[in-house]
Amino acid sequence: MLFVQNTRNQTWVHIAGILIIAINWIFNHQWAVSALPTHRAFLSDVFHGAFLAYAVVSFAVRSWALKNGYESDRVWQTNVIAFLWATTVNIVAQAWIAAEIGGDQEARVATTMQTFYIAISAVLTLHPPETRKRNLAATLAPLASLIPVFLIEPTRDHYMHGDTAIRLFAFAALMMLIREAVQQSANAAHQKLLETQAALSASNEARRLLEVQQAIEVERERLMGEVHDGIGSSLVTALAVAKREGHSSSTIELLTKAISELKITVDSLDPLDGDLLAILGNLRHRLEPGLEKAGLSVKWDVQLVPMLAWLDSTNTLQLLRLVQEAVSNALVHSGATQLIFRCMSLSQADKEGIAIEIEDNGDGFDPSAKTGAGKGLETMQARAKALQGTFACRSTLGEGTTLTLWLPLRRG
Amino acid sequence: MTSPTIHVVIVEDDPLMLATLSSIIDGADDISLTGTAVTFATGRDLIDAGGFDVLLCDLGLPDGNGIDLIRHCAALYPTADIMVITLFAEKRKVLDCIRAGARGYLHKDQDAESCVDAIREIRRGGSPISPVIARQLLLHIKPQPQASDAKLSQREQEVLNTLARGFSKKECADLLGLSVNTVGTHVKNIYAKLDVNSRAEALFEASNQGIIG
Repeated sequence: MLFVQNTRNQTWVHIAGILIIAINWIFNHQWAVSALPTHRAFLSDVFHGAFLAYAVVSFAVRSWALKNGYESDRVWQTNVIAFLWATTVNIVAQAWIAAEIGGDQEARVATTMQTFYIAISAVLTLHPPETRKRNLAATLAPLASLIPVFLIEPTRDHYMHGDTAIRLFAFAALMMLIREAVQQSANAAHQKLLETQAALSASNEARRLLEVQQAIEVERERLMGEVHDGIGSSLVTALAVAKREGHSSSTIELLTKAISELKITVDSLDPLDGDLLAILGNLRHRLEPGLEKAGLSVKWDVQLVPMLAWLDSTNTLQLLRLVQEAVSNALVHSGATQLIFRCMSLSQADKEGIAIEIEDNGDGFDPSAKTGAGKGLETMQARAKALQGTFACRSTLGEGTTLTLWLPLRRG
Repeated sequence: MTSPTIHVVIVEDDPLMLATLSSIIDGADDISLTGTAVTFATGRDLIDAGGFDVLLCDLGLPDGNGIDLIRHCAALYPTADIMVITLFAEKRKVLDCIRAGARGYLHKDQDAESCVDAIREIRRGGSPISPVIARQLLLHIKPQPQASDAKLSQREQEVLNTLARGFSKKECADLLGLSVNTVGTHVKNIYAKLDVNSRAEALFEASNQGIIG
């Protein structure tokens, strides 16, 4: 913490100011009595006395303000500004009183100008816009004001010169100190506020996320238990009964499909951190026994691809359904004997992404036809759109079909 | 080539499921059904009586949790193979069972032929696995300096990595220049390491909490 930010140090600075005014008055009085006519010397004393009285009163007001809970930085700033203006008024007054000896109007004007520079620069400094350049200009302004003094009276050794120069330098140094103090205090407070806010919102966010995750987890567990003991068990029992009692193959097929559907839904509840290969691999694992039975072999030709951070449960279900539909199209319509799964990184329209390809060696079809396989394409297209990806179908009669799903790595 | 008969016991409370599994086993020449139980209590007696190579165990029993039976069986007969009967083979359930001592699982809707194959395979020393479980194992078994026999070998790591990307055991074997049986054996060994690992974790935690030493 800086020296002037401590209210006790501020008190000492204030008291020192009062003492300096008093000492200055004593010296000024001795000089005025010897150099000025009586009524002017008296006037000079009156101004000094008023200045000292102001200093004492402002000290009392400051103590009262601090005691009554006014913000200490604000009180200190107000005090400094008021003090500087009072000093300025006194300097101008003394200059006009003293200038009589030389009858020197220009010196009076020069001094007046300087002191107003001081006052303006003080205000500028104490209400600093957040730019260093302007602060520096405000601090240096009183020094620049020395120039007219030397331009007007380049040779004469005058009381005003030395006095003003010392005041200006002292003032510049003081301003620099105050400016730094105010800014540092403001910066530190601001920084602390930002840190506290950041820490707070981070921990809030983390807690909220954890709560959401736990809620999802609990709900997932409940749902899984429900599915497991309820509909899952019933379907398995139904399938077993159907097989045992020799029901029609379409019934058995339907029940098998329902179970596989249920498994996919349950799987989608766990998006595996967007690990596409594990998700697709698991679907393959689920579907392959059925495919093998139908005489369809699978070739797995995948490359390592990055995780899809946006792939949540809902999107995973869309993806699994889409791939499942593609596979069942090949199974039901194409008469294929082999399915090739491909997965690779692929940029599309300058966007990074992942392409998933499912190729069969079946009969192929006319993709524009609105029946059979062509109709299934519309659903897949819609799913791809919901995933914010693209979907394409290439099919040649007699040679087979390739379905391509492209997914963006990042979603806009 | 004739292999010795595999003796199987089943603990399953659903009579239809039990009947299905029983008839599947009856249909295989090299597998014989030694006993069945429909509750936790009778299942425990069945296990205590011994005389089997493979235990097929359901988890949701009316009077207890099948996982405790698995733990009991694994402690009594380290050389017996335990398989969980499950509908979905969810990763958490499967991993919990592996930690308890199971080395494989059967799907409730699995057809007869692949059930029999799975039982034969586990006796040969191979375990079933899915990409999701492979992925989970990769996340779970980290190198642990305090239990070196719980660390994955580089080969095992490769096997898991390949399986987690959706490749079948056969493809994994081709990619890594192994036989399918070797891949299955690796999986079974990895399961054992998860088991050891969780015991090591428990031990580590226990000593941290001042329970041991």
